Amino acid sequence: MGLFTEKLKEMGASVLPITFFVILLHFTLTPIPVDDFWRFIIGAILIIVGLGIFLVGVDLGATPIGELSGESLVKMNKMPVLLIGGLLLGFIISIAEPDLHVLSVQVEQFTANIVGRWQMVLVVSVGVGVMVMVGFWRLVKHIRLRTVLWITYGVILLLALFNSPEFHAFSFDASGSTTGAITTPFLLALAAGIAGLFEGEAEDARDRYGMVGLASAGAILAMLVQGAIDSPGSYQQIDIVENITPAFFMEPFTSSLSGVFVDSLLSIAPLALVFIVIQVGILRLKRKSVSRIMIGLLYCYFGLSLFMAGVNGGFMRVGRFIGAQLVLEHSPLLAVLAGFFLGMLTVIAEPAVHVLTDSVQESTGGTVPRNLTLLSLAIGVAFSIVLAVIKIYVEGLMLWHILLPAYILIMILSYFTPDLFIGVAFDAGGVASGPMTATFILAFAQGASGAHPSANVLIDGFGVVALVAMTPLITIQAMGLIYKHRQRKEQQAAVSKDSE
Amino acid sequence: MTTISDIGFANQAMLLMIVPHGRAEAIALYALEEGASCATVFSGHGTVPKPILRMLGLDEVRRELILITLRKQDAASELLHKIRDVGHFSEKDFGIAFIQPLLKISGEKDELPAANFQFEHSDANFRALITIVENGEGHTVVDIARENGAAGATIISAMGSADHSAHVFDFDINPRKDLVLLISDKEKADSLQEALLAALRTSTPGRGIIFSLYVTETLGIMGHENDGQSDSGIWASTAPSPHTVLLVMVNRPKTKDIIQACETAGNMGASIIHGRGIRHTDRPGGFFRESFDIERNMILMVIKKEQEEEMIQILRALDKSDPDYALSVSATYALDFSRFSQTE
Repeated sequence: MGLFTEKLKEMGASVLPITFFVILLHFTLTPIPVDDFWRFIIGAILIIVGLGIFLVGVDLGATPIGELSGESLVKMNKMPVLLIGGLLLGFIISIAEPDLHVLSVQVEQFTANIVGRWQMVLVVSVGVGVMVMVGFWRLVKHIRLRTVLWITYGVILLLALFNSPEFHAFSFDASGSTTGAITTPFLLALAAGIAGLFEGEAEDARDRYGMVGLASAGAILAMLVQGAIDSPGSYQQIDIVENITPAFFMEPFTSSLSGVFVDSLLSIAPLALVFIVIQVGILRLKRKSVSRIMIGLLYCYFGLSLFMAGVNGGFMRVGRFIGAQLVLEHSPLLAVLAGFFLGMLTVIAEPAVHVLTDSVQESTGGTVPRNLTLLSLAIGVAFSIVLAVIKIYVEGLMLWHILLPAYILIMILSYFTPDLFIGVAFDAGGVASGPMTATFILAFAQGASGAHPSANVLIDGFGVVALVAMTPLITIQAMGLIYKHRQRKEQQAAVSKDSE
Repeated sequence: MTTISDIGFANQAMLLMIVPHGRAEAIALYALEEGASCATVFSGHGTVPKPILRMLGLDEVRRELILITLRKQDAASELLHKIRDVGHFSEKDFGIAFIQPLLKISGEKDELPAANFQFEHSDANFRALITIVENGEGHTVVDIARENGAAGATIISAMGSADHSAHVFDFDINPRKDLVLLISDKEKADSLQEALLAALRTSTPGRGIIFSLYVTETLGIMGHENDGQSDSGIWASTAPSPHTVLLVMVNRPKTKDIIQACETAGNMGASIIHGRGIRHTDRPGGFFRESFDIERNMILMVIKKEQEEEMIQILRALDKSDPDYALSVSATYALDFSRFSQTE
């Protein structure tokens, strides 16, 4: 079982840090009720096993489907086919994303049905479809990613002026929600399939990255357009789920189980559909390869279900509890510090993070090791949670007060960053805001804001995902700049040595 | 420190090691400590011959290949022994290693004849059988090889050089290829090659090639007890093959130049494999490793013996024109070279 053991070891190393940190918190700052503590441990085990199976499944199923569909669409060599294909692909993977549905239900309640659930899901999915289409177009026209990003974010800035602060939060959160556990590996593979066709003699693997980033931007764009056209004037308070005492020990797991299996099925379905269409229409792979891909999808399904059961059943309650206790019992400084480590260690357990960091390592021939990308990402997310916690304590600090200067900095950085790292950075933003963030970190932030008198659970709850999706753009680009600097120095050294 | 190996044209032996994923770093660094000036690492896949794992889709293991070219054949042998003696290959099924003699490439223009084996070594009991096929067919090759008695094989993803006849959206595309590498004794290699040629024959041109290389020393080959022993013998006095395989290592951004130059010289196809070069550096401490690696590509070309000299002159001229190429060129005989397509 070489592959599984290898993955399990890797996942153990990814999930154990956050587990130990929570255990540390349990024995020091925030003693967790004993039942919840053991649920958390069971959750951690489920997450390790689930992640292991899921990632094997991604390698066998999701990645080949993405690569093959990108490749075959481009090889048909017809612009209209490519563009419509991109639109459809983006649309169906986004519409099936469970995280997006969760968010849209919240938004529906918050806006008193003015922005309806399905309306939001459709709007966002169209946005994602359009931007995947733009991504395809840029790849075959060989247009630089940063040019497309500058234009996109320019439009976003303009549109943001016509929107209320609440809608900013919805929009940027939507961007994080569309890029879930299965969407992200699929989008990465889609771009890799296309870029791979042109990349044999290319300078580097830059064109493999950026598709996830563009899809996220598509969600923001679509929501801002929606908000600018008919913005709800008033918002109403809704009840956030409190930590209800479960009837029996395993209840949090069993009660979430059916939902988890349905959600996972929803996430996998578009991929299976895409595969069937291209297999019947274009590919006609041999039976062996087809069964391999199907087995892969099955692994994805079970792995994701186990993972989600672990997160929902074991992690969410603990996240909310820790957040509340830190604010109630301890100084702001301690809360900020705990948030820092929580963010840093949680993102390592995010499924798509492994897919991205492995892909970067592979496509750079190993020169950008996965641990380096992982570290930059973790530092980024750590700071995003710090910002989220500060936002809870500081009254009047709005999301856009943080996002506006940050995105201006990001755009300036992207002028200097090597193209490869721009793509990786924008993809990392989508990758970091996966299911782990949408549940554990969000629960933590909601717990914290619920416990702070001046904070608004909803306003501060919304926006956390937006922050998590933003900070990696800075840290990964910074990594790219350091890398470039270092590379130049090494090359100079090598040249001068050779000429001696 | 660049006494036993070289980035350049002067190498005469190549040491290739196939090890589990993640283990190449340590071995490469050890080799650098022992005086090699550069090691190049590629990634690939091995397969485990277990039907159950195969059914579950779990029969692949990630592998890494380490390639070190050395100035002298005995230096390669010595390095391999040192690597084995410090315990790198002591784990069961850890990996395999082999040494391959290289043709001597002339020092300067008008000096020696273009190429000549310098060492009188080995009618070589072992062969490295290399098959390059369309992407996805690597598994088929491994299956056929297994059915015919091969123990294991490594699949490495490669890119074909651009096919200029097939533009997509006004750009050339690179077909994806699988390179399958397997080591076996001479007799088996011959029968495997025959079996593969018979099974994969096609009328479509450009579907793949197969050839084998001399191997003088092996380590870790299943069922072979003579581990670490050199075969000795004498090359046939006439050239054993009308084909030469050129292995060109180049900094990745410069790949296109090399391919273009070789195309101008009449070479029609090359395979490109992405990897990283680990070089000796005076500044230790990268972010997570002890060396700072740069992206390197290996370009593999099978050419006719007559083309060899011209090709090497062109490469040498390019290398001199810009230090950024950092070319390392190796040549050796491509034995029993054939194509899968009948029409070529």
